[in-house]
Amino acid sequence: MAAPVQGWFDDRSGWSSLRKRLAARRVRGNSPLLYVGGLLAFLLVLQVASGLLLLLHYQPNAAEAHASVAFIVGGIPYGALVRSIHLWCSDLLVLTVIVQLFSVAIRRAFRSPRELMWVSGLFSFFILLAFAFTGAVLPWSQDAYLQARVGSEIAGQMPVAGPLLRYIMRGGDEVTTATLRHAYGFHVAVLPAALTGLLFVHAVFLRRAMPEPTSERTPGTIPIYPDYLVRLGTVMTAALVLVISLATFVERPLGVAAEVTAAAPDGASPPWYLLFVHDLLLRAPPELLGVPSAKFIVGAGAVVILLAFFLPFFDRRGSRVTAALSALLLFAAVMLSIHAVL
Amino acid sequence: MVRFLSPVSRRTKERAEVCPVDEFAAGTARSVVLGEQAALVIRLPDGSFRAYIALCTHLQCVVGYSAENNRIECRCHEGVYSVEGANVSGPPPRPLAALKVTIESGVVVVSEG
Repeated sequence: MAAPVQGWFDDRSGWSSLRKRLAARRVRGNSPLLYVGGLLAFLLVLQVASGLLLLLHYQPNAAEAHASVAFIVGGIPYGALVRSIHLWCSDLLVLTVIVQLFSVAIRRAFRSPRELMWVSGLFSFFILLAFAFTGAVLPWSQDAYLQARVGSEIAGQMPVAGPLLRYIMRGGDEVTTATLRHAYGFHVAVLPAALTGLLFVHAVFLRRAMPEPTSERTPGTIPIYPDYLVRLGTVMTAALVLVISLATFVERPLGVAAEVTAAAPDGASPPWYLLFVHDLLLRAPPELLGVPSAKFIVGAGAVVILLAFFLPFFDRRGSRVTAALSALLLFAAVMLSIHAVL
Repeated sequence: MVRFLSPVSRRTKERAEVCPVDEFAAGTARSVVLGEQAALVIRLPDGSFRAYIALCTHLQCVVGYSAENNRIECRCHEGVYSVEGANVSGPPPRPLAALKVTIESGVVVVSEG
């Protein structure tokens, strides 16, 4: 029964010959890099799927946004779960990319011929952060309003590009109802288009930069089909289980609707990956070297980011200093984040 | 294209009524929306008024009046201002932007400039 159907399908899809080709190709099975890309792709698909479901019920205007998210959570079957999956998945994406970024920097894997992979990957990371920022604004809760204000103001402290960036993030000079519409447009259209393009480019560079799969049975290599694909499937399944477990058992409260005049609450804090910035801003004196401290901190951060983009070009051989500095940077950020929480 | 992507906010009103003057107790504060921004109006114990754009000069969190400490506080990064709007402690680099308070037919009105 199955054979004729399989034959019929094979004729049309070429599945058997593809399978044979993949079975003859071998990759190094223990290289974590081989799985991170697949994991990120999977989390992105999950993000798009849950995002599309939320999109069906969300109202992108200041008067109705909060109520519509409250309705998704309280009135739509499985709405709370879908929203929670979207939020947890976004955190996992950011976490995975940060781990990936630092592991590439510390292992100096940005060296030739992977320079452009590093640059396109770093760009993708900032697009991801833009997704997180605009997404956080959408519920138009008190917390969302605060994040829109402070997030855009922090970006605005950046030298040269700051004011323009702040203007774009706010959809004007101030945080208004236009900010929400703007965030929505970016979140569902502009950023997805940008990320799709960037990931395509990233994949093109990846194809050239990866060691060619070999057909020799060298130790440590496994065939792409079925071994590697099964392992990748296991990683994806584990990620799915993790996301759904977190989404089910750890609540992500929506908070009260935004009110323009409400003072910031006690203990207001940014998303976890910006806690180290929060801690720096909180502890710094009003001025550092004659510059307002916020401007100084953000300026220094901007310089680090700029250097990171050009890293593969001025550190062509990947010096140990770069690896050590990257590790130090990560360590400092983690310590400051822990300090901010305590 | 960047300018197209970022429409200018429409600031229409630059004046807002707060409440009748006899309902505004000394030593309390009220928040109003001025244009689309928060404004903080304080009535000092001597009966006089002070009003500010309620945005911290550090990173634009919305500030609030603390009657207990008789000062203005930003809880995002622990900035403190005096009731005169001066930055007293914490990270704020500048005083709060002051607004004008007038009494028009028994009503407290706050306006820019």
